[in-house]
Amino acid sequence: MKISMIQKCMILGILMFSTYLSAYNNPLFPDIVIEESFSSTIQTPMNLYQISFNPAIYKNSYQEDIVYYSANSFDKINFFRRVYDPKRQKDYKLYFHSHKALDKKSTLAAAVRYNRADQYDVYRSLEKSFYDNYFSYIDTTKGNVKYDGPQLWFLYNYSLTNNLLLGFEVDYGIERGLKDVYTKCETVIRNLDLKFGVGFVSDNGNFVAGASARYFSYEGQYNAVKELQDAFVRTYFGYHVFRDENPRSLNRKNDHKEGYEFSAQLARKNILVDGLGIQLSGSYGTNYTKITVGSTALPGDRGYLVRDGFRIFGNAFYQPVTSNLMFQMFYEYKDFSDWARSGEYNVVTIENDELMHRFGSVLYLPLMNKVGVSTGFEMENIQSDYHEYIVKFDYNKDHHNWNGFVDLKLAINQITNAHIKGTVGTVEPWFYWNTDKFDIIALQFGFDRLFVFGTLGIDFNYEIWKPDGATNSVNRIGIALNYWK
Amino acid sequence: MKTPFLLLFLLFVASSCFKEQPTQVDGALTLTLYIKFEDSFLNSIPVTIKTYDYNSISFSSITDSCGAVFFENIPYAEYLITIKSTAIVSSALNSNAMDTVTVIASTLITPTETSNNENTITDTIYTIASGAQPGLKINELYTVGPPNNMFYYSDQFFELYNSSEDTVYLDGMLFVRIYEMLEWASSIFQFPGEPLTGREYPVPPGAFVVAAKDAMDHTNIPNFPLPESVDLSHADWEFKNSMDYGDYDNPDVPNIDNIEVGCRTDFGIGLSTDVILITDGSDVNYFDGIAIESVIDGVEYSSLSTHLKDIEKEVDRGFGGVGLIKYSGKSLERVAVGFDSNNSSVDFEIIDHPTPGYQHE
Repeated sequence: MKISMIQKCMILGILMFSTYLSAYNNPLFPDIVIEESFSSTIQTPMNLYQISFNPAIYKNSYQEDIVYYSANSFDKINFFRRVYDPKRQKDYKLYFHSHKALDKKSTLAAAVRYNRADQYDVYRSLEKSFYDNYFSYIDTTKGNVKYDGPQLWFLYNYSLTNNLLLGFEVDYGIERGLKDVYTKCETVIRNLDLKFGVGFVSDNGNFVAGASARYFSYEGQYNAVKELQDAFVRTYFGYHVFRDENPRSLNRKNDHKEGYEFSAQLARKNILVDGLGIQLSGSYGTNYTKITVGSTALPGDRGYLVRDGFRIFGNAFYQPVTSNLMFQMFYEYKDFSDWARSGEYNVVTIENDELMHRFGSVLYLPLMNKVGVSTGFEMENIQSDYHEYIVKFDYNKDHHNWNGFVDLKLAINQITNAHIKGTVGTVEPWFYWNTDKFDIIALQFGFDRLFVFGTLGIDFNYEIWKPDGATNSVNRIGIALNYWK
Repeated sequence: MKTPFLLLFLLFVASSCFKEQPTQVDGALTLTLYIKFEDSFLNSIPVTIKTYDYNSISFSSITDSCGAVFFENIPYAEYLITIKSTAIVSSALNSNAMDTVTVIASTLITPTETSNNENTITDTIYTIASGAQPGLKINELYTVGPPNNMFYYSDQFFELYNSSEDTVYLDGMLFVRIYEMLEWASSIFQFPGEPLTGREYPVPPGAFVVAAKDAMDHTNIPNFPLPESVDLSHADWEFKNSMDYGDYDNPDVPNIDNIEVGCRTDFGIGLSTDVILITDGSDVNYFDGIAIESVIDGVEYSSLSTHLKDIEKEVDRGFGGVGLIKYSGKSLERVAVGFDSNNSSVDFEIIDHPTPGYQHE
């Protein structure tokens, strides 16, 4: 395998990062991706930027310049689905990422992404994902919806001194969606995510500490223009109670979200022996979303939703310099609470408490010169305590999820690599899925080859989510074309 | 050492930017109503409360021996209270005798900040004997059209009811559609006959009169079946603009004709928002508006709860129809036949299907 360890680490990081770069839906605690589905190089431990998102330590995590292009596509066929899910969804993504050390002190990184999602046979929902929101908007139309839009990302890293680092990061995205049936519901979303961080690196580079602050805001607007006939628009409060909205010539919903997150992190390498290290990151955050429905002149308050909580993430790894062996273990603890207030009265309509413990590990074993095996598992326990109060509904359940994978990596020759990976797992979904669990089977394989102009790679992915007690399943097929140098 | 404190301070400032969680949860409201007729509390009276704030939320209960009814653990919302029942009360003429009367009431109750803090609302509902403010009433308006994809709403009709003890005469009376306030009539049709003095078109006490836009069987139109529409082929009257040569005319049904100069359209009104009046016909000079003394009854309706009124409060203090949906086949009818407190917000309710010529249950 000719690609250097550092480059592999960078590509993996970028791949993970490209997943996180999701300005259309900037959650309070973005998912920390342990492994990327399109990666043939799972053999480096996570870095501190990946678990903390502190822009000040970006340079410390990715030290070599890189240019990376990716085009990928997923086709998800929901033979098994919830009422308001699309029957089929096709996702396309074009992604460009580059970062460069401008001088000894400054590093600049930029990324551009174009996303497109085509949803077919969407029954009534005017939301991109009905079930991700407590306040969802539907009408009586059934049709196809196309979402697309660009995202821009910039990061600037500056070393004030040899030890003190500063970083600033901006992620901005817009998206437009259009339903192709007669109300022609148009969705426009604008998202902004700003981060500022400071970091400290010891003289020998073994100790890193940092702190960062994040501000994010989201503005979503839905306009359904009727043509003579009303489409019976409704707003859901939770998943069981809705309100019939007043018929009008222009049905409009606005979501306004703002939030903050503060985090602190540290990492230590080469503890006691070479290659042994730990990383720790903790963050606290809160955000609120206000929902209004109606005309801009007379908006009707439908309530607001507040989420706050904290997350702690720890990772311990061992990767001796003299070997390609790598082992890492991580633990994540996430605790957050949601509550929603009624639009007209000072009462709580929805409450949700969630507590998550997640534990996992990855082991990479270089078996011979040309073969390596990466294997890992993850298990998580999510305790959810969900209540709707308008009409009483209580849901209290512990969800036990797990998955394990084996990834075989092979250097076919000096310039060509291949990998094949199998994953199995179980997910216990929420009540609105109407099944107790999903059994997941995934298979992926890919190649990459070094050319004079850079490296080209291609990956294929096939996933089946099989619900318990049902004959239909959720199938997902993907292909990715990557280029980097 | 200052940095951690600064960070803690920033954290505190950011946290305080956000909303405070209310102490009460929804679905915990207790509504206590005392039902009275004149000076007596009424027992064993069914009371229904319904809200249009959420889907399909309505509750029913019966008053206890103290005339009180309790609704516990209900959502915070605006409720329409409806009472329609018979009650045994002391006779007005003989204090030793008892009379059976039909009592009705309809009112809106909205939680206030106080009820929010205490989780309870207590109120007294005063019922009246059915037939209060008797006279000729617009008893039902069916405006929204049946469920269909062709924007069909020609099955609109109005139902009148004589709630007085005297026969009233329709001769020369007007149906007026109001654009904005009484000075701006946008459509004006007249019954035949001499206003005020004519005696050709009587309406006996307790009788219904159905005036259809097109007096035909709308459920059975060739090649366009609308089973959820209504058969108006036996309507008592039909709106017919004699200047509109394409307007359907049932020869068996007498016409109410347009008197507005230059108007060539039928008497169509707004599907979900409008004002409709009946007047005695003493003022037909619509150029300077409609004289309020001539108004017999007026109803304003709008599906929008935020609607701003389009008619003087002397004619209608509120407006009905909040929650009406176009092309839903629903109709707007008085909560009890002829019930009129001059406030359509509480006098009318939405019913699932029109009832031409009779009152819904």
